[in-house]
Amino acid sequence: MLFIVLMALPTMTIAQEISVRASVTETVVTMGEPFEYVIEVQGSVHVEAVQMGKVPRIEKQGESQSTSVSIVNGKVSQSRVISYTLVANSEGKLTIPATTVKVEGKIYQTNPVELTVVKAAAQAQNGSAAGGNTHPDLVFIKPVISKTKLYVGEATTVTYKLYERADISNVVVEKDVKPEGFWVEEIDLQQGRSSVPHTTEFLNGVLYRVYTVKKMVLFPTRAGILTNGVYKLNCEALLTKIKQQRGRTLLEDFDTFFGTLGKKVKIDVVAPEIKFEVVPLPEPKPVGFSGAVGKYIMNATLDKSKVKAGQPITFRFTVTGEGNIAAVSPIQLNLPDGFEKYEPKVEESISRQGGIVSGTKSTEYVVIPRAGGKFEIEPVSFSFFDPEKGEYKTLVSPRFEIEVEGETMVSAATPMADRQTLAKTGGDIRFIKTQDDLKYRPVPIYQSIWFYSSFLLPLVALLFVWMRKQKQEKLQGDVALARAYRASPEAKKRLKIASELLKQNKQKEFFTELEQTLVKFIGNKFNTDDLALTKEELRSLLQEKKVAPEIVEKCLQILEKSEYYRYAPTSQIKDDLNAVFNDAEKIISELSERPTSS
Amino acid sequence: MSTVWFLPAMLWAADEEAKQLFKEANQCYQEGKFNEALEHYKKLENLGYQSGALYYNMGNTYYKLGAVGYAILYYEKAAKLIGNDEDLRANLELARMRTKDRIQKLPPFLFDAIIERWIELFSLEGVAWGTIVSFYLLIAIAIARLQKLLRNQLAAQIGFYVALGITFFLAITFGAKSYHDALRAEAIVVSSTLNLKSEPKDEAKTILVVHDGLKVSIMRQLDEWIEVRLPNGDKGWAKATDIARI
Repeated sequence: MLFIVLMALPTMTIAQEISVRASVTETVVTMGEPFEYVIEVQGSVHVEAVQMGKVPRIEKQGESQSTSVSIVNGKVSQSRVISYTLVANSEGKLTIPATTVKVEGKIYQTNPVELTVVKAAAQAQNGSAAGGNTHPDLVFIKPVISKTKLYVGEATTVTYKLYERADISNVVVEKDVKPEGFWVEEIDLQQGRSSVPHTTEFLNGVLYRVYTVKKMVLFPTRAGILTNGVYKLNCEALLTKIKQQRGRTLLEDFDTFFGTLGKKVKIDVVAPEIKFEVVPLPEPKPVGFSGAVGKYIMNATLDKSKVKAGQPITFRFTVTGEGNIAAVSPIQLNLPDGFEKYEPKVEESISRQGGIVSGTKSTEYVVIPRAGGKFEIEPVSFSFFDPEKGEYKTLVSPRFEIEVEGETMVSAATPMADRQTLAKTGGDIRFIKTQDDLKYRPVPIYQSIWFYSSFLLPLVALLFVWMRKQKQEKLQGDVALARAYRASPEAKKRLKIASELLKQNKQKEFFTELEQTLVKFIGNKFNTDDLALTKEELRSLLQEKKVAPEIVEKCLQILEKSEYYRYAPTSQIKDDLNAVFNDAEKIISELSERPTSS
Repeated sequence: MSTVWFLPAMLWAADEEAKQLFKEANQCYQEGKFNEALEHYKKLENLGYQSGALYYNMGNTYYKLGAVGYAILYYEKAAKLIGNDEDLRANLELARMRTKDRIQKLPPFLFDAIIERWIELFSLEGVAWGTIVSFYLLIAIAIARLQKLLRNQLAAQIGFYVALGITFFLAITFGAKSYHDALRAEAIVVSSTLNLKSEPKDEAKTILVVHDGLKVSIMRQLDEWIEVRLPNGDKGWAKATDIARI
């Protein structure tokens, strides 16, 4: 076919009207950036000279020419395209005046072209509003978002797909996404155009090649309206005027094959920013919830349930599931006293297979029991929020039972004092008292009447005893007084009797009477037991009472004489007897004058 | 006449009711229903019942509920009645360990320390009974001497003076203890954070911040403000509602 066309070319009669037209690829150009100015010559390929009009503020950077020949219904149409790469130096509206083209010896004038030059930034803004694509029909990006309304922590997958139907190359990421307020898990796509597998897709009746250029999983970390920023690519595309006019011809295909017909153009491909509506997690949150969102299962294992004191045991808790596994906090383990717990070993593995972030987080505790006995370990729990069902779920491990053999072991690592305080602070209070000793409005003992009045009883008793004693003593004192008082008259009476006996010369009776009179008198006088008085007692009594010694002597003499005469009565001289009587009378009168008490 | 007859019976019935309430409270405590247990105990206290066991149990309940300040308050109240109880001492120590303030006690004078120890050695009731017994003994010896019932005069004399000495000592101890109990007012901080002010008004400068469970001495009271002294000798004014008298 190619051959036929080539052979046919020279033989074909060229009977075609020649027309010349000028155009620019875009009417709005960015200042400083190159754009194409294309002159199309229809009907002939023999362009002899092109004379561009002088354009102020525009610079010519390059020139290229291409030729196309097409045969439609036996008619051959030829055309030549001359394109200039121009750069505008200042903004504003400007007109490229008519260009003079000499074709087959004839002079043709093109139409003038008007265009607007804008500043770079303004253009960008303009571009983003309009999608930013210079050739939206040829190349564009379509973002695919799994979900835009999310809970905090819920995963959403964002995929950027590049659609193209021009041969694009040199795809460069000019501006990457900047998701703020997100935890980003980038899905690794095998980059590099050649190896990226592509699919084809019909869109509005046009076939596109589709490439996945970026894929990521986003986890919002806070509530609110969050955006992920603009994604902008830059690529080179093979561009032909004809292509732009649509409708492919055989020749066009032919030219595309050789790569001579098209023209490489730099194209910006922009995906606008995506808005996400992030809502906070519902309240109330369960106890121990630490922000895990997704779908998880928990596995709890203990390597051995029977161990010797001092031997380590290992608790292993794994949380597996879909979600931001990095945000899952390690499982907390509470142990009873007597267990030494070390810092847990936390490991995580994250898989991003198939654009879903999943993985496992394991928390491993090495624990050393220090005391023997049977222990129950409280179950551990893990809470997470299931965004699909919109509810919290709490996973609880089974209760562990550990049997520790052996006596309490003391680890050398912990100093003794520390352990003691630990043991004490860790200990619990003692149990309540069950024996009630309730008292209804008790009065403190120092305020109670009973307490003070209890002292009164012995005091009263003492007073009673003392008073009785006083009375007794007083009574006794009264007897003495009476006897002393009675002593003298009684003695006088008895002395009279004695003197009568003396007159009758009854010696024996006289002495008896005299002795008795004397002893009784002294007894009465000093309030003693008169009958019991012996001579010696009498002497000591009188001495004690401080009676003058001569009286005492006399008194004793009388008693001696009385004894003597009583048992051996002799005819005594009456004078002697009279002397005895007088002595006795004298003693009595002498003692009577003494005060009774002393 | 009938009221006189029924009064003891009514009192007896009330006592039985109180005992029942105490039992119920203990049951609640044992079942871990500490709030209910506390309600019961409080009801008993409000009815006018007092006992070392009641205060001790209330201290335990407050401890379990996490109110260390109140726990210490009731342990201290119990200590006034059953000061020598071993369980009480252990729990009080444990509760004190959970308080936040670690205030160095002012080193007491030697004499004060000796008196303090000596006072702590006896319970008030013990001393009261001791005083009564020794006083009776003293009077008995005195009566015996008056009545000349004792043969050995010397032994009687020594016995009399020994009894007199013991009675005197115990009476003084009793007086000191009563004074300690009745007049030396102490209180426990019950609000979790207490700002001690320099003056008895809200706008006054905060000079110290203490926490629940601290034992303070009450110096004087001015309306709703109480001047307290900390164990280290610092003084400040506190609102009456922030502390509770032991």
